Amino acid sequence: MDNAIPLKTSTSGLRKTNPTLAIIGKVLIYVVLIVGAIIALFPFFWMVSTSLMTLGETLQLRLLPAVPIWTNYAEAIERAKFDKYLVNSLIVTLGTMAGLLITSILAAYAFARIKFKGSNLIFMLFLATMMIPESVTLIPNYLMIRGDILPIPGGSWMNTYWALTIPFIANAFSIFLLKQFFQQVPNELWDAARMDGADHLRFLVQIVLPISKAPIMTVLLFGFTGSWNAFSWPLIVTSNDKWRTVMIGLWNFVGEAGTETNLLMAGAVITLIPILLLYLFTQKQFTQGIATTGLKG
Amino acid sequence: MRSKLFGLFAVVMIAALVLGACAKPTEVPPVVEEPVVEEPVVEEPVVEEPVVEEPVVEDPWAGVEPAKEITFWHNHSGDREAILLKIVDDFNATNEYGITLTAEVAGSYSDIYKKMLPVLNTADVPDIVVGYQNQIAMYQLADAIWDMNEIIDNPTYGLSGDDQADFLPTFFKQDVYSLYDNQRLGLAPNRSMEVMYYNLSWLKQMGYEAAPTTMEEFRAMACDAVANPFEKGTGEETPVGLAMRMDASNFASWVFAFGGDIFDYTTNQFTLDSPAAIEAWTFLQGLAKDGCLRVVDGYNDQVQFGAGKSLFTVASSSGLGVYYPKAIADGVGEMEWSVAALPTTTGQVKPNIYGASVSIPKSTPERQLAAWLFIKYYTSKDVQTYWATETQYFPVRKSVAAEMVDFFGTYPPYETAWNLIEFGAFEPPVPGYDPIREEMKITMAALLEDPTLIVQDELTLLNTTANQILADQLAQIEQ
Amino acid sequence: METSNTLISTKSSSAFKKQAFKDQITGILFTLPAIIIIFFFGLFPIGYSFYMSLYNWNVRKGKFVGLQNYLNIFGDWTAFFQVVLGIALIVLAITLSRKVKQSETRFSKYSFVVLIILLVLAGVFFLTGWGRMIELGDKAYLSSLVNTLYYALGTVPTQIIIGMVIAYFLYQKIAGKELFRMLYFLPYVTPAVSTAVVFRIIFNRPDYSIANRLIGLFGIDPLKWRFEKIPIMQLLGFDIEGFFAGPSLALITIMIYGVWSFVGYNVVIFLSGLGNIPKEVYEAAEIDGATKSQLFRYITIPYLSPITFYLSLISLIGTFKAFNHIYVLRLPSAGYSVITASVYIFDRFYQYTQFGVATSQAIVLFLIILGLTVVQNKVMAERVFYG
Repeated sequence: MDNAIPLKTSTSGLRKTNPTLAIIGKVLIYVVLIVGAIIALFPFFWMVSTSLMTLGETLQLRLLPAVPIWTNYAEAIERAKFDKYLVNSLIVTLGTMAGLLITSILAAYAFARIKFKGSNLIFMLFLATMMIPESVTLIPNYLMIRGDILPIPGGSWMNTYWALTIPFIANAFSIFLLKQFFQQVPNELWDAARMDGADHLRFLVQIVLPISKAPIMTVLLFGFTGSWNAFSWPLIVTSNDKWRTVMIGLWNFVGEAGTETNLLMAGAVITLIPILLLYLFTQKQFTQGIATTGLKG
Repeated sequence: MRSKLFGLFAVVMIAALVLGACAKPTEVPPVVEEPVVEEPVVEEPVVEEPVVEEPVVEDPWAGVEPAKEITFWHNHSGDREAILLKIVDDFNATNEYGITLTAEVAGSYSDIYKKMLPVLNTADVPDIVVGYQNQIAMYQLADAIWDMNEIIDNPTYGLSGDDQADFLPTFFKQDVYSLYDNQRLGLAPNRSMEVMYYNLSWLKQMGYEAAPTTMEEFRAMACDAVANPFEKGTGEETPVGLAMRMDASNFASWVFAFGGDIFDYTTNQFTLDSPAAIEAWTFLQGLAKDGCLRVVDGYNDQVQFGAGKSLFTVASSSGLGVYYPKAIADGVGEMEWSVAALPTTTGQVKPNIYGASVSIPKSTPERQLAAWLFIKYYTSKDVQTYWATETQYFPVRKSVAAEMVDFFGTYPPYETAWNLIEFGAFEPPVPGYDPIREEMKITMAALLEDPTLIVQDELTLLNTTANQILADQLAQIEQ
Repeated sequence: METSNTLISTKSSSAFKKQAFKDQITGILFTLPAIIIIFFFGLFPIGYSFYMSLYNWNVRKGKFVGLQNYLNIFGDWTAFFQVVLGIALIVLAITLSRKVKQSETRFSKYSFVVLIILLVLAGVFFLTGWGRMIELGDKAYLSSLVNTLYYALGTVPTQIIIGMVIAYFLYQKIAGKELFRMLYFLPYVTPAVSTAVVFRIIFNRPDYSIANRLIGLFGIDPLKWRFEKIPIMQLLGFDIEGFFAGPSLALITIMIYGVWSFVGYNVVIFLSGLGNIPKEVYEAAEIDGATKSQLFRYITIPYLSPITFYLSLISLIGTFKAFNHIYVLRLPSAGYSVITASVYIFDRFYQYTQFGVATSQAIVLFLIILGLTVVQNKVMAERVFYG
C-alpha cells in the first residue's frame, strides 16, 4: 500500500546499447512530447490571442493581434456582468467546498477506522452513485429543489445559493479518496490516543487531520473545479442574473455576442482565470492527488 | 394541490380586499373627530349607500395598493437595456404610487421561457415577463398568467376606449387568446418584422438597379453574387447570395413569401408541408445546392452581410437601427443598403410580423396592479415614441407613427418596413411552438446541407412531429 | 475494503461490547451528513425517476401510463426482448469460449460449432430486434444511444493509448518532465464550457477556419467539421449505410474535444502507475537481453493493466455522462448526429418539458451503464495482471 507515495522523479535504469539509436529515440520522444504540448496548449493560446483582437482581425482569423486591445475585457465584463458572476461562482464554490470537507472527512474516517454495522453496505451504495449518470438524477433533483417532492425550508430553492451548493456538499468520490488515506494511518497512533482517553472525534481532529493535508487538498481541488465548472445544474436552477454562475454567464454570452469572437474569448478567459491560478499554484499537489485516485484501494 | 392552495389564497385575498375597501373610508373621519368613539358605527351605512345606488363602484381595484417593489424579466441587452432602463428609471421617479420596478436581463427569449416554466405559480415569478405568444400560451397551460381583461377597461387604472383604439388592431388583438376563452394574456410594447436586407452597392456593381421582387430575380442575383464578389468585401469568407441563419421565423417568412402559411387556424394544425412550404424549400435547397446560399451559425448572417460577403439576409427589422449598421461599420465600413419585403410568387407581399409581448404572471392583486401600471406607462404614447425611435422596433400605437415622421426621414429603410405592416402575417401562438421551432431548425439545416434529401418527405415528417407535439400540449389543457 | 481492524481484543467482552456500541453510534453519526445528501440527491432520484417514468408527466404530473413511455422507446416489446436475448446470447457465447479455453480438455469441434451457432443466433436476434425497434420506437433516442456508443468507442481507446504512450515517454529521462505533465493536464482542469467555446470557433465551417487551414497544410480539402452530419465512412467515399458508416464528422469533432480534454488525466494516472513498477523487473529483463519495445510490451503494459482497467471503466462511464462540451459544440446543421443520450434526455426535459418521457429514457440509459459496468468488470478483471 505504498500508493499514496508521490512519484519521485525516478528513472528506469535502462542501459543503452547503441548511443546513436538512443539519441534518435530521445529526439523522437521530445518531438512527440512537444507536439503533444502544442496541441494541449493551442486552444488556450488562441483564446487569449483572439481576446485581444479587433473584430476585424477575428474575421480574418489572425493568429496574433496587431495591437493588443485590453479594453475588450472591460467591454466583455460590462456586457455580460462577469464580475458579478465571478462573485456568485466564488460563493457557491467556497460554500460547496466547506460542506464537502466536513461531510467527507467525517464519513471517510468512519468508513476507514470505525467498525459499525451497515458500514460496508452504505459504502457500496455510495460507490454505486459514482456510476449514475446525471441525466437520471437531474429531473428528480430539480423537482426536489422546487420543493415539489418534499417540503423544504423556504418552500423552493430555485434561485438560491442552497440549490447551487447543497446537492454537492457530499460525494462518494471524496469519501473514497480520503478513506484510502485514513486507512493507512498507523494503528499504533490510535492505540496511543485511546490510552490518553481520546475519542474518535478528537483523534480525527488532533492526529489524523494534521497528517492528511495532502489528500484533503486533493478533495478541495476536486471540489473547486467540480463546482466552478458545473454547467447543466446551474443552468436549470438559476433563472436570473443575481444567482448566475460564470459558466452560465459565458454560455448566455455565446448567444448574445456569438459573433463578436473577441469579446466572447475575453469572457472565456475571465472564467478560466481562477481555475488557472489555482492550478498553477497547486499543480504538483493536484496531479499527485489525482494520481492516487487511479490506484487500487 | 398548488392551484387549489392558490385558489384558497386568492379567496382569502379577495375577502381581505373587500374588507379593506369597506374599512378605508371609515377610518378617515375618526381621525378628525377623535373623541367620539361610536362614530364609525354611525358612519357605516353611509359607506354602503353608494353600493346600493350604482354597482359600478364595486370596483375590485378601489382598495388595492400597488406593490412597492416589482421585477421585470426582459431580454434586452446592451444598448437596448440602457434604453429600457431609462424608461424604467423615469417610471420609478415619476409614478404617483411609489412603485419601484427592477428590470433584469434574464437571458434570451428561450432562456426566459425555460426559466419561467419552473417558477410558474410560485412566489419566484417576476411581476412582468417578456414572451412570445406561443410561450405565453405554454405558461397558461398551468393557468399561470393573469388575464389583463380584469383591469384593461377599469375607469381608474385601465385604458380608455380612445386609447385602446389607438393601438394598431393587429398588434392589439394578438395577445387575446381564443384558446383560453379570449383572455388577454399580454400587451405588445413593440413589434418587428422579418425583412430582406440587401446590399445595394453590390447589386449595382453587378448591374442591378433594385431589390428583387420575384423569386426568379432573387435567384439570379443571389447566384451572380457568388461569381462577382463585392469589391469592398472584407475577410476570407467566400461570397454568397444569402447567408441563412437556422431560425424558425425564417422558415415561416419564406413560406409566407410563397403565399402559404405554416398553420391552419381552422383545423388548428400545423401545415409545415403545405404546397407553398414545399415550393419554398425546394427553392432554397436549390440555392444551397448551387452554392448561392450558405447556412450560418448564430448571428453570422449579420456579420457576413456587414463584411460584404452575403448579398442578402432575411432577418428582423429590429436590427435596422443598431445591429446592422454596427455590423457594416465593423465590416466593409460603408455601403448602400436597405430593406425590402421578401420577393413573392403571388405579387402580394406578406411579411412575417412578430414580437414579444409583456405579460403579468399571476401573483397577488397588489403586484399585478403595480405591474399593470408599468405596462400602461410602457405602452403610453410618449414612452412608445422614445422606445421605438431608440430601438428601431415598431411602435404599437398609430399616434406614435405620426410623431415619427422625422425619424422616418432619417431612416428610410425603417419607413419601408413600417409601410409593410398592414400586409403582415403571424406565426401561430400555440403552446409547444418552442420545441417545434427546434425541430424546424434541424429540418431546415438538413434540407440545406444535404441536397439529396427530398423536401416533401422531410417536411411531412416535420409536420407530423409538430402536430404530435402540439397535440401533447393541448392534451394538458383537458387534464 | 479491508478496514483496519484495530480493536484490541484483550479487553473484557463487556467493555468490548460497550466500545462496539459506541462505535456504532459514532459511525452512524459521522456518516449521517453524507448519507443524507447522497441519499436525497444521489440514490433517491433513481427511484423517483422510475416513478416519474410511469406517468404522463409534462411539467405537471398527469395520468398513470404504466410502461407506456418505455414502450414508446422500444416500439414493440417482442423487438425489445429479441434485442435483450441477442445480447444475452453474446454474453453467453463469450463466457463459454472462455470456459473452453481455460479447461485443459481439447478445444473440440463440437464446442466450436456451438459457439458459432450461438453467435449467429445472437446476431440474428439482435439485428432483427433492433431493426424493428428503430422502425417502431423512438428512433431519435435509439440513435442517440448509438451516438453514445460511437463516442465511447472513439474516445476511450484513443485516450488510453495516447495517455499510455505519453506517460511512457515522460517516464524516460526527460528534461522539463514536470512542465510537460502540467501542460498536458491543463485541458482536464479547465472548464469544459470555456474551452469548448474555443473549439466551436476552431472547428468552424468556413474554408479559412483554423482546422481547415491546418488540414490545408497537408493538402486536404476544407471540411465542414461541426456542421457535417454525413457519416465519416461516406465522407471518405465508402458506400456504407447503417452502423458501420460510422459517426458524423460533427460527432468526431466532439470526440476530438473529448480526447483533448481527457488525455492529461490518463497521462497523470499512468505516470503514477509506471512509478510503481519495480525497477528490478526491468533490470532482470534487460539482463536477459530484452529490447526496449519488448520491455514495453511484456513488462510495462501488463504491469499497467490494473490502471488501464480502471481508466477504461472511468472513461466509459464518463462518456455516457458526457454533456457539457457536447451541449456547447452541437449545431442544428449536424442534426441528431451529435446528440448523445445524455444530451437527448436533457432536451426532452428542458426543451420539450416531457418529464415522464425523459425519465424513462434516463432509466434505460442507467440500466445500460449498469450492464456495461458489470460486463466490463467481468471481462477485464480476468485479463488484468496484478503485479
